[in-house]
Amino acid sequence: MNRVVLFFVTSLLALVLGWGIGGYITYNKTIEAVGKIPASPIIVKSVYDRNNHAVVFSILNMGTLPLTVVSESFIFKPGKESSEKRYEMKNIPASIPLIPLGITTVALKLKEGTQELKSGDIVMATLHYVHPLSKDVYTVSHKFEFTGKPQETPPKEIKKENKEEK
Amino acid sequence: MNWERVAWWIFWLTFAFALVIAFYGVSLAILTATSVEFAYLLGLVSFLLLGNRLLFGYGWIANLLDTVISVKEVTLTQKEAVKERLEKKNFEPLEKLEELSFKALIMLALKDLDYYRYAYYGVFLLLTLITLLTKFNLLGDLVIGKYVEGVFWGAATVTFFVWGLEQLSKVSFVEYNLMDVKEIKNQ
Repeated sequence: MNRVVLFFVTSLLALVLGWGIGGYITYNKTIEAVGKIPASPIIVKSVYDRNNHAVVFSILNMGTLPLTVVSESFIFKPGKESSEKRYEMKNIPASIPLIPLGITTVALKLKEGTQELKSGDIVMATLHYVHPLSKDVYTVSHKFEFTGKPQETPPKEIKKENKEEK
Repeated sequence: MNWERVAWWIFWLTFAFALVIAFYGVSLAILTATSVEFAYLLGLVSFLLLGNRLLFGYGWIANLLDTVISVKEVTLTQKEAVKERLEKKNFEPLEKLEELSFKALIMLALKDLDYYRYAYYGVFLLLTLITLLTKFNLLGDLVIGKYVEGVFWGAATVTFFVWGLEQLSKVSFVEYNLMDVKEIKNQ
Protein backbone atom coordinates (compact mmCIF):
# COMPACT_ATOMS: atom_id res chain seq x y z
CA MET A 1 0.00 0.00 0.00
CA ASN A 2 1.37 3.38 -0.91
CA ARG A 3 0.14 6.83 -0.03
CA VAL A 4 -2.18 7.19 -3.04
CA VAL A 5 -3.97 3.91 -2.31
CA LEU A 6 -4.17 4.85 1.37
CA PHE A 7 -5.70 8.19 0.42
CA PHE A 8 -8.44 6.56 -1.66
CA VAL A 9 -9.20 3.84 0.88
CA THR A 10 -9.37 6.43 3.66
CA SER A 11 -11.67 8.68 1.62
CA LEU A 12 -14.01 5.79 0.91
CA LEU A 13 -14.06 4.79 4.58
CA ALA A 14 -14.74 8.39 5.56
CA LEU A 15 -17.68 8.52 3.14
CA VAL A 16 -19.14 5.28 4.51
CA LEU A 17 -18.62 6.50 8.08
CA GLY A 18 -20.30 9.86 7.43
CA TRP A 19 -23.15 8.11 5.66
CA GLY A 20 -23.63 5.77 8.62
CA ILE A 21 -23.50 8.48 11.29
CA GLY A 22 -25.76 10.84 9.34
CA GLY A 23 -28.21 8.05 8.60
CA TYR A 24 -28.28 6.94 12.22
CA ILE A 25 -28.94 10.43 13.62
CA THR A 26 -31.45 11.36 10.90
CA TYR A 27 -33.33 8.06 11.24
CA ASN A 28 -33.68 8.38 15.01
CA LYS A 29 -34.72 12.03 14.77
CA THR A 30 -37.34 11.18 12.15
CA ILE A 31 -38.68 8.30 14.21
CA GLU A 32 -38.94 10.63 17.21
CA ALA A 33 -40.72 13.32 15.18
CA VAL A 34 -43.16 10.87 13.57
CA GLY A 35 -43.81 9.32 16.95
CA LYS A 36 -45.12 12.62 18.27
CA ILE A 37 -47.80 12.95 15.58
CA PRO A 38 -51.12 12.19 17.26
CA ALA A 39 -53.24 9.66 15.47
CA SER A 40 -56.93 8.95 15.74
CA PRO A 41 -58.12 5.41 16.25
CA ILE A 42 -60.20 3.97 13.44
CA ILE A 43 -62.76 1.21 13.85
CA VAL A 44 -61.87 -0.97 10.91
CA LYS A 45 -64.33 -3.79 11.50
CA SER A 46 -67.35 -4.49 13.63
CA VAL A 47 -69.08 -7.85 13.68
CA TYR A 48 -71.82 -9.47 15.68
CA ASP A 49 -70.66 -12.60 17.43
CA ARG A 50 -73.69 -14.81 17.55
CA ASN A 51 -72.25 -17.41 19.96
CA ASN A 52 -71.21 -14.97 22.63
CA HIS A 53 -74.07 -12.57 21.95
CA ALA A 54 -71.67 -9.70 21.64
CA VAL A 55 -70.70 -6.97 19.20
CA VAL A 56 -66.96 -7.05 18.52
CA PHE A 57 -65.12 -3.93 17.39
CA SER A 58 -61.63 -3.98 15.88
CA ILE A 59 -59.96 -0.65 16.62
CA LEU A 60 -56.83 0.31 14.67
CA ASN A 61 -54.41 2.73 16.32
CA MET A 62 -52.37 4.23 13.49
CA GLY A 63 -50.04 6.25 15.71
CA THR A 64 -46.80 5.20 17.34
CA LEU A 65 -47.99 6.02 20.85
CA PRO A 66 -50.53 4.05 22.87
CA LEU A 67 -53.96 5.62 23.24
CA THR A 68 -56.32 4.92 26.10
CA VAL A 69 -60.07 4.68 25.72
CA VAL A 70 -61.40 6.23 28.91
CA SER A 71 -65.12 5.71 28.33
CA GLU A 72 -67.56 4.61 25.69
CA SER A 73 -71.22 5.03 25.05
CA PHE A 74 -73.39 2.83 22.90
CA ILE A 75 -76.83 3.54 21.52
CA PHE A 76 -78.96 0.73 20.10
CA LYS A 77 -81.73 1.37 17.66
CA PRO A 78 -83.76 -1.79 17.05
CA GLY A 79 -84.79 -2.28 13.43
CA LYS A 80 -88.19 -3.22 12.09
CA GLU A 81 -87.68 -6.95 12.44
CA SER A 82 -86.63 -6.80 16.06
CA SER A 83 -89.19 -7.24 18.77
CA GLU A 84 -86.94 -5.85 21.48
CA LYS A 85 -87.53 -2.24 22.28
CA ARG A 86 -84.06 -1.57 23.52
CA TYR A 87 -80.94 -3.56 24.06
CA GLU A 88 -78.93 -3.43 27.24
CA MET A 89 -75.27 -4.11 27.73
CA LYS A 90 -73.97 -6.40 30.42
CA ASN A 91 -70.98 -4.18 31.04
CA ILE A 92 -69.26 -1.46 29.14
CA PRO A 93 -65.50 -2.01 29.06
CA ALA A 94 -63.54 1.06 30.13
CA SER A 95 -59.94 2.27 30.12
CA ILE A 96 -58.76 0.08 27.27
CA PRO A 97 -55.19 0.67 26.10
CA LEU A 98 -54.96 0.73 22.30
CA ILE A 99 -51.59 -0.70 21.24
CA PRO A 100 -49.55 1.49 18.86
CA LEU A 101 -49.54 0.52 15.17
CA GLY A 102 -51.88 -2.37 15.77
CA ILE A 103 -55.45 -3.54 16.10
CA THR A 104 -57.11 -3.92 19.49
CA THR A 105 -60.30 -5.98 19.69
CA VAL A 106 -63.04 -4.92 22.06
CA ALA A 107 -66.10 -7.07 22.71
CA LEU A 108 -69.34 -5.52 23.86
CA LYS A 109 -71.52 -8.15 25.48
CA LEU A 110 -75.26 -7.76 25.29
CA LYS A 111 -77.42 -8.69 28.21
CA GLU A 112 -78.18 -12.37 28.42
CA GLY A 113 -81.69 -13.43 27.62
CA THR A 114 -82.28 -10.67 25.14
CA GLN A 115 -83.03 -11.48 21.56
CA GLU A 116 -80.36 -11.91 18.92
CA LEU A 117 -79.63 -8.95 16.73
CA LYS A 118 -81.85 -8.79 13.70
CA SER A 119 -81.34 -7.19 10.33
CA GLY A 120 -81.63 -3.44 10.51
CA ASP A 121 -80.47 -3.05 14.08
CA ILE A 122 -78.09 -0.13 14.49
CA VAL A 123 -75.35 0.21 17.08
CA MET A 124 -73.93 3.71 17.49
CA ALA A 125 -70.62 3.48 19.32
CA THR A 126 -68.86 6.56 20.66
CA LEU A 127 -65.34 6.20 22.03
CA HIS A 128 -63.71 8.81 24.25
CA TYR A 129 -59.94 8.48 24.24
CA VAL A 130 -56.91 10.35 25.56
CA HIS A 131 -53.49 10.80 23.98
CA PRO A 132 -50.40 10.50 26.24
CA LEU A 133 -49.10 13.91 25.10
CA SER A 134 -52.35 15.78 25.68
CA LYS A 135 -54.88 16.25 28.44
CA ASP A 136 -57.81 16.61 26.05
CA VAL A 137 -60.44 13.96 25.55
CA TYR A 138 -61.10 13.11 21.90
CA THR A 139 -64.14 11.40 20.47
CA VAL A 140 -64.69 8.94 17.67
CA SER A 141 -68.15 7.87 16.55
CA HIS A 142 -68.95 4.71 14.65
CA LYS A 143 -72.23 3.43 13.26
CA PHE A 144 -72.71 -0.29 12.87
CA GLU A 145 -75.74 -1.58 11.07
CA PHE A 146 -76.42 -5.27 11.36
CA THR A 147 -77.35 -6.57 7.93
CA GLY A 148 -78.27 -10.08 8.99
CA LYS A 149 -75.95 -11.62 6.43
CA PRO A 150 -73.89 -14.58 7.71
CA GLN A 151 -71.13 -12.60 9.40
CA GLU A 152 -67.68 -13.99 9.49
CA THR A 153 -66.64 -15.14 12.90
CA PRO A 154 -64.63 -12.52 14.76
CA PRO A 155 -60.97 -13.06 15.62
CA LYS A 156 -60.50 -15.44 18.52
CA GLU A 157 -58.25 -13.24 20.62
CA ILE A 158 -60.84 -11.09 22.29
CA LYS A 159 -58.85 -8.97 24.66
CA LYS A 160 -61.54 -7.39 26.77
CA GLU A 161 -64.11 -9.95 27.66
CA ASN A 162 -66.38 -9.21 30.51
CA LYS A 163 -66.15 -12.03 32.94
CA GLU A 164 -68.55 -10.65 35.47
CA GLU A 165 -71.82 -12.43 36.15
CA LYS A 166 -70.49 -15.74 34.91
CA MET B 1 12.83 43.45 18.26
CA ASN B 2 12.80 39.71 18.54
CA TRP B 3 10.51 38.68 15.73
CA GLU B 4 10.62 35.02 16.57
CA ARG B 5 9.24 35.79 19.99
CA VAL B 6 6.38 37.82 18.48
CA ALA B 7 5.56 34.96 16.14
CA TRP B 8 5.41 32.55 19.06
CA TRP B 9 3.14 34.90 20.98
CA ILE B 10 0.82 35.18 17.99
CA PHE B 11 0.84 31.39 17.68
CA TRP B 12 -0.04 30.82 21.35
CA LEU B 13 -2.78 33.47 21.27
CA THR B 14 -4.33 31.85 18.18
CA PHE B 15 -4.02 28.44 19.81
CA ALA B 16 -5.74 29.67 22.98
CA PHE B 17 -8.49 31.25 20.91
CA ALA B 18 -8.96 28.00 19.00
CA LEU B 19 -9.13 26.12 22.30
CA VAL B 20 -11.81 28.48 23.63
CA ILE B 21 -13.81 28.13 20.41
CA ALA B 22 -13.48 24.32 20.53
CA PHE B 23 -14.53 24.23 24.17
CA TYR B 24 -17.51 26.46 23.38
CA GLY B 25 -18.47 24.25 20.44
CA VAL B 26 -18.20 21.01 22.42
CA SER B 27 -20.20 22.48 25.32
CA LEU B 28 -22.87 23.68 22.93
CA ALA B 29 -22.95 20.28 21.19
CA ILE B 30 -23.38 18.48 24.51
CA LEU B 31 -26.02 20.91 25.79
CA THR B 32 -28.16 20.89 22.66
CA ALA B 33 -27.67 17.22 21.78
CA THR B 34 -30.63 14.91 21.46
CA SER B 35 -30.36 11.57 23.22
CA VAL B 36 -28.89 9.74 20.21
CA GLU B 37 -26.37 12.52 19.53
CA PHE B 38 -25.38 12.40 23.17
CA ALA B 39 -24.78 8.66 22.83
CA TYR B 40 -22.60 9.41 19.79
CA LEU B 41 -20.59 12.04 21.73
CA LEU B 42 -20.21 9.61 24.63
CA GLY B 43 -18.75 6.95 22.35
CA LEU B 44 -16.51 9.53 20.69
CA VAL B 45 -15.08 10.86 23.96
CA SER B 46 -14.59 7.48 25.63
CA PHE B 47 -12.85 5.97 22.61
CA LEU B 48 -10.71 9.09 22.24
CA LEU B 49 -9.53 8.40 25.77
CA LEU B 50 -8.98 4.73 24.95
CA GLY B 51 -7.15 5.43 21.69
CA ASN B 52 -5.28 8.49 22.91
CA ARG B 53 -1.94 6.70 23.04
CA LEU B 54 -2.38 5.22 19.58
CA LEU B 55 -3.50 8.49 18.00
CA PHE B 56 -0.57 10.46 19.36
CA GLY B 57 1.92 7.60 18.95
CA TYR B 58 1.16 6.85 15.31
CA GLY B 59 0.64 10.53 14.54
CA TRP B 60 4.02 11.37 16.00
CA ILE B 61 5.79 8.59 14.10
CA ALA B 62 4.08 9.49 10.81
CA ASN B 63 4.98 13.15 11.26
CA LEU B 64 8.61 12.34 12.06
CA LEU B 65 8.98 9.97 9.10
CA ASP B 66 7.37 12.54 6.81
CA THR B 67 10.03 15.09 7.76
CA VAL B 68 12.79 12.51 7.35
CA ILE B 69 11.51 11.47 3.92
CA SER B 70 11.19 15.03 2.63
CA VAL B 71 14.64 16.10 3.84
CA LYS B 72 16.21 12.69 3.09
CA GLU B 73 18.30 12.94 6.21
CA VAL B 74 18.01 11.77 9.80
CA THR B 75 19.42 14.31 12.21
CA LEU B 76 20.77 13.51 15.62
CA THR B 77 17.97 15.44 17.31
CA GLN B 78 15.35 13.30 15.64
CA LYS B 79 17.10 10.15 16.72
CA GLU B 80 17.42 11.44 20.28
CA ALA B 81 13.69 12.29 20.28
CA VAL B 82 12.78 8.71 19.37
CA LYS B 83 15.11 7.38 22.04
CA GLU B 84 13.70 9.72 24.64
CA ARG B 85 10.18 8.75 23.74
CA LEU B 86 10.93 5.02 23.86
CA GLU B 87 12.67 5.39 27.22
CA LYS B 88 10.03 7.62 28.76
CA LYS B 89 6.80 6.12 27.46
CA ASN B 90 7.70 2.51 26.77
CA PHE B 91 10.35 2.00 29.47
CA GLU B 92 13.04 0.66 27.16
CA PRO B 93 16.49 0.68 28.83
CA LEU B 94 18.71 3.43 27.49
CA GLU B 95 21.75 1.13 27.18
CA LYS B 96 19.85 -1.03 24.75
CA LEU B 97 18.76 1.97 22.70
CA GLU B 98 22.20 3.56 22.39
CA GLU B 99 23.60 1.32 19.67
CA LEU B 100 20.41 0.94 17.62
CA SER B 101 19.92 2.55 14.21
CA PHE B 102 17.04 4.92 13.40
CA LYS B 103 15.23 2.16 11.54
CA ALA B 104 15.42 -0.18 14.52
CA LEU B 105 14.24 2.57 16.83
CA ILE B 106 11.17 3.21 14.68
CA MET B 107 10.50 -0.53 14.54
CA LEU B 108 10.65 -0.66 18.33
CA ALA B 109 8.28 2.30 18.64
CA LEU B 110 5.83 0.68 16.22
CA LYS B 111 6.07 -2.65 18.02
CA ASP B 112 5.48 -1.08 21.42
CA LEU B 113 2.28 0.51 20.15
CA ASP B 114 1.04 -2.93 19.08
CA TYR B 115 -0.11 -3.83 22.60
CA TYR B 116 -2.31 -0.75 22.76
CA ARG B 117 -3.48 -1.38 19.21
CA TYR B 118 -4.62 -4.92 20.03
CA ALA B 119 -6.41 -3.75 23.19
CA TYR B 120 -8.12 -0.93 21.30
CA TYR B 121 -9.25 -3.04 18.38
CA GLY B 122 -10.39 -5.76 20.80
CA VAL B 123 -12.66 -3.38 22.65
CA PHE B 124 -13.95 -1.96 19.37
CA LEU B 125 -14.66 -5.46 18.03
CA LEU B 126 -16.58 -6.29 21.21
CA LEU B 127 -18.65 -3.12 20.83
CA THR B 128 -19.31 -3.95 17.17
CA LEU B 129 -20.51 -7.42 18.15
CA ILE B 130 -22.86 -6.04 20.82
CA THR B 131 -24.20 -3.48 18.35
CA LEU B 132 -24.84 -6.17 15.74
CA LEU B 133 -26.56 -8.35 18.35
CA THR B 134 -28.89 -5.51 19.33
CA LYS B 135 -29.49 -4.71 15.64
CA PHE B 136 -30.64 -8.28 14.98
CA ASN B 137 -32.65 -8.37 18.25
CA LEU B 138 -30.60 -11.26 19.58
CA LEU B 139 -30.34 -9.81 23.09
CA GLY B 140 -34.10 -9.77 23.52
CA ASP B 141 -36.16 -6.61 23.60
CA LEU B 142 -33.37 -4.17 24.38
CA VAL B 143 -34.62 -0.59 24.65
CA ILE B 144 -31.08 0.81 24.77
CA GLY B 145 -30.26 -0.66 21.35
CA LYS B 146 -30.31 2.65 19.54
CA TYR B 147 -28.01 4.22 22.12
CA VAL B 148 -25.56 1.32 21.79
CA GLU B 149 -25.54 2.07 18.07
CA GLY B 150 -24.79 5.73 18.78
CA VAL B 151 -21.84 4.76 20.96
CA PHE B 152 -20.69 2.46 18.17
CA TRP B 153 -20.71 5.26 15.59
CA GLY B 154 -18.77 7.53 17.95
CA ALA B 155 -16.23 4.75 18.47
CA ALA B 156 -16.08 4.13 14.71
CA THR B 157 -15.18 7.79 14.13
CA VAL B 158 -12.18 7.50 16.48
CA THR B 159 -11.26 4.09 15.07
CA PHE B 160 -11.19 5.61 11.59
CA PHE B 161 -8.51 8.08 12.69
CA VAL B 162 -6.57 5.47 14.65
CA TRP B 163 -6.57 3.15 11.64
CA GLY B 164 -5.68 5.95 9.21
CA LEU B 165 -2.75 7.19 11.29
CA GLU B 166 -1.52 3.64 11.82
CA GLN B 167 -1.57 2.94 8.09
CA LEU B 168 0.04 6.30 7.34
CA SER B 169 2.92 5.69 9.73
CA LYS B 170 3.47 2.21 8.31
CA VAL B 171 3.30 3.43 4.72
CA SER B 172 5.78 6.16 5.64
CA PHE B 173 8.05 3.58 7.24
CA VAL B 174 7.97 1.40 4.11
CA GLU B 175 8.73 4.46 1.99
CA TYR B 176 11.60 5.36 4.31
CA ASN B 177 13.01 1.85 3.97
CA LEU B 178 12.88 2.01 0.18
CA MET B 179 14.72 5.33 0.13
CA ASP B 180 18.39 5.91 0.55
CA VAL B 181 18.37 8.09 3.64
CA LYS B 182 21.57 9.43 5.09
CA GLU B 183 21.91 8.79 8.78
CA ILE B 184 24.27 10.79 10.94
CA LYS B 185 26.17 8.27 13.02
CA ASN B 186 26.63 8.52 16.73
CA GLN B 187 29.90 9.96 17.90
